Amino acid sequence: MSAWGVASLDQEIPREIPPTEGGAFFQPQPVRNELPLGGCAQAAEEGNILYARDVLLQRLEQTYVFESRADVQAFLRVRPTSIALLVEASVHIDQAFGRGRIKTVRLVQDGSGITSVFGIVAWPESIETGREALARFDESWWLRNCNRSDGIVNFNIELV
Amino acid sequence: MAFDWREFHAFAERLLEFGSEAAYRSAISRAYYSLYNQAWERAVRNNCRFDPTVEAGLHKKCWGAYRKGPDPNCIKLGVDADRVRESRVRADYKSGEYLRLREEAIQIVKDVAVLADRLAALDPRYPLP
Repeated sequence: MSAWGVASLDQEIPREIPPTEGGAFFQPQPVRNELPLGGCAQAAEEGNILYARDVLLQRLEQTYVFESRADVQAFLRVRPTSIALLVEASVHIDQAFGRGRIKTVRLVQDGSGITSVFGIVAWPESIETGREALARFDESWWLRNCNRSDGIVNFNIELV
Repeated sequence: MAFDWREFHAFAERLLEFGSEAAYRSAISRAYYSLYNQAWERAVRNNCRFDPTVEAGLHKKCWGAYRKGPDPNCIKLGVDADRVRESRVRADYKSGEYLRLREEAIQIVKDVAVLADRLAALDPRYPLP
């Protein structure tokens, strides 16, 4: 007891009362996810990625016409970065070529299989103006981004 | 005596004079191969390694080496030449109607001449291995 008639904190009141399981102050600790990588957590993560990829692919198909639809989908499904790049390119194509152009996704192979994917802009005007628009597209965005996605994406015009 | 690939380009110019669909398509193809073979030999001289047994697509890999730069002229050349490749594949393999083929063939043969000059003018270090 102190001189003031108050119990000494050190001696008479425990500083810490450890909660006992089942007691009023017991708070269960959050359960840590101990699942190894490759378990449910990874499956969920992969599910999210696959969902995101399919959403992106749908968005791509709203913007471009797919030439040989099933082949394009099969090729792009395992190359999600190419899908993202083509989607991103769309706005830059609109800026360089003008809105409302027909854009097509075309697979290109050189003898030994499909090796790359092209975004093709249908161009009904003169070849010179088409080349000028392509040059604008290159300078404004494409040349700085052309090596993304392992360089398998490119863009061209098609005279129609 | 090694074959001079520029002769393919001269032949492409002559093909244009025939004025048939087969001639226009062949002109695009010969013009492309004129450029590709010059670019390929240069890349091999610069010790770029292209292993044909590892993965398909030697043409894509060749232009990919140019696209990697870092020289902006080298990148632009790789991108533009890869576009000619796309036109060549279309001319050689796609039987569908080729709208404005004559116009495109004439332009591509001209373009290839310019691209070959740009290739020759590149800094000799490029493409990098």
